[in-house]
Formats: sequence, C-alpha cells, structure tokens
Amino acid sequence: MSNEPNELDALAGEAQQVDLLIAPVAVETSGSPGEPGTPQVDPAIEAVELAAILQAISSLFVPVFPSLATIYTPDVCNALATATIPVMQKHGWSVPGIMADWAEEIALATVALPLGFATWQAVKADVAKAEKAVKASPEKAVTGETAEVKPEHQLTEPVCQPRG
Amino acid sequence: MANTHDAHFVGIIGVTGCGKTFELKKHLKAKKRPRTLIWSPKERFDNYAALFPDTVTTSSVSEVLKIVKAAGKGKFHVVFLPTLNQRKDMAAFDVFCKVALAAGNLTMVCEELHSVTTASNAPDGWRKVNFMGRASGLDVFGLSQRPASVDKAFMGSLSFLHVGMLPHPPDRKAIAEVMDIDRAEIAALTGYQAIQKDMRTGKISRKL
Repeated sequence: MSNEPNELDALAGEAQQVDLLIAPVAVETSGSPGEPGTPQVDPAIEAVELAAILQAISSLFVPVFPSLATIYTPDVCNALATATIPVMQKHGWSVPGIMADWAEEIALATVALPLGFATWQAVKADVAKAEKAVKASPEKAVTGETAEVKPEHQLTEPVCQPRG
Repeated sequence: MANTHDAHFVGIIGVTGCGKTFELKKHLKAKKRPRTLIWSPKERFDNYAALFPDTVTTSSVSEVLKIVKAAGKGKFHVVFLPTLNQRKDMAAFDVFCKVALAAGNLTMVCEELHSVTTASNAPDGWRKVNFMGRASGLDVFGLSQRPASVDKAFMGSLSFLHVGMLPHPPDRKAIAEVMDIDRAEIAALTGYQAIQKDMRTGKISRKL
C-alpha cells in the first residue's frame, strides 16, 4: 500500500547516495568577493537550452525546406550548442540573456515565418495560375477578358432562351 | 489492492514550441491536484513552480523525500531540478519515482522524459511507476520531444496520448506505431496541430 512511512523511510539511504552522486547546480557568482554578482549558469544546462532553441528554430523552416529535418537532428543541435556555449561565454553572452533580450522578436518570428511562407506559397500559386491562363489564351489576356475557355456551343447560343 | 483510483497515464509528445505545456496545463486544471511532484529540466523556461501555491523547488532527492514524509496524506507541491547529466539524472529519477510510488495519491509530471530513459531501458523506479502507479493512485504525465528515446513501458501504459509536430523521422515512426496510424499523418503536423488518442477506447481526434 502506498503512503506507508516504512516505504518512505527505506528510501532515505538511496536518496542520500543519489544526493552525493549528483553535483549541485553551480550557483557561483561573478565579480569581486563581497560584490553582488551575476549568477553563473552551468554550461551543460545552457547547452541543452540552446540545443532546444536551435531545434525549435530549425523546425520553423522544415515546412519550407524539408531537408533541414535531416540536417538539424537533435544530435547535431546538441553538438552545435555544446561548441557554441564556450564562445558565448567568452563574449559574455548567455542563453537566458538572449531569451530575455529577444523574447518578443523570437515569439514574433515563430508566428510570422510560417505565415510569410504560407503567403508566399499562395501568391506563387496565384501567379502561376495567371501565367497559365495567359499562355492558354494570350489575346483575351491582353484585352482583360478571362482566359477561361468555353465550349463552342456556349459561345454561339443566346444567353437567355425565350420560353413557350 | 483494488484499483479504486481513476489514475491516468498521459503522454504529451512534440517538438519544442508545439503546445505541449499548454496541453499539460489543460489536463492539470481538469481536477484538483493537492499533491504534485514535477521533474523539470528546463524550469527556467517552463516555470512549473508557478502552477501551484507554496511549491518547493529543489535539486535534492533527500529534500523531496523529507517534504513528502512531512506531508503525510496532506498537500505538497515539489519541483525537482535535475543536473542534465544523464547518468546522474537517471539515478536521481529512479529514487524520485520510488518516492512518488511510496507516497501514492499524487500527480507526477516528468518533463523531457527522453533525458532519463531510452527506448529499451528505464530506471527501476520509473518501471515500477508504469506498472504499479495506477494502483497507487498516481496521475502521470510524461512529456518529450524525442519519443523514439522514450521507454516502451511508458508508451504501453498510456491511457491518453497527445502528439504534436515531430520533424525527425525516427520519432514519427515510433509514435505512428504507438498510435497505430499512418506515419504520413504525423509528418503532416505543423504549428499547433495535434493528434490525440484515447488509448483505452482507441478513439482518435485530430486538432488540425
């Protein structure tokens, strides 16, 4: 049965062992001793976060360029992020800092890019349709008429037939 | 013991930014959850600590155990921050799951499940949660962007599965098999589109 104190007590040893095994997340501070500093984030954590961002960004472009899915695999993103973090730290940049500074722009991009792609596809399809129509009936396209080709009999018959 | 609890095992799968957290919060709000244990590798972004009042955030398994013991059958809300070192996190996740199982009657959320399991292997504690959690009154929510790396035991325990955009073919294949649908359907998902399956009834719904 759950919620038995004995079961929980029995886990105390395992919990202590695990706590010894897992290194605490570094929360050292930068700056001179005695001065307030900026919390330093574990590079491994930053790498995971950056890899997730890279994957999210690449996923945005996958509908436009499907080949990107095979290039920006999770392993590739992880490798790229792991190599990027030391460079970012060298220049004093951080993933949380970028997210804080550019959060609005990133949010806009996640909405605007798919919308832009859909618009481009739609316009491209409309232009192609118009060009096809011009090729099918160039003289009508010049006079501004629609290029829809009607059957011969419809062109010669009156629009309204008198009844009776 | 008799299974008197309406426990749920829910999988929420998809790439970052496809609406997994939104879906999770919808499920969490569906009923009162006075006891929660949340495994949160990206807490700075996900901020699960803000979901429930008086949440304790910790990186110590012993502290989790202490809080759960002190609560007895009462309320508690704990967010655990793993190290993101897979070997260490698998060890911590093992005990974290055992604590959840021993405490019973709680909601457990496991973010980035693929970081502590593989398709064919998972910590003992997690395996126990999968086959005994329902009897202990656990509601379990597992989230991942890499379902190909999530253990099959969890996939087999699911009562509900929500799947969003998955750009990588191995993940599409893994989920298509679990949902018993065409892989092309998974491949076609974009933005916030999703496919959901009630694994108990087999009913599939599409949010397209």
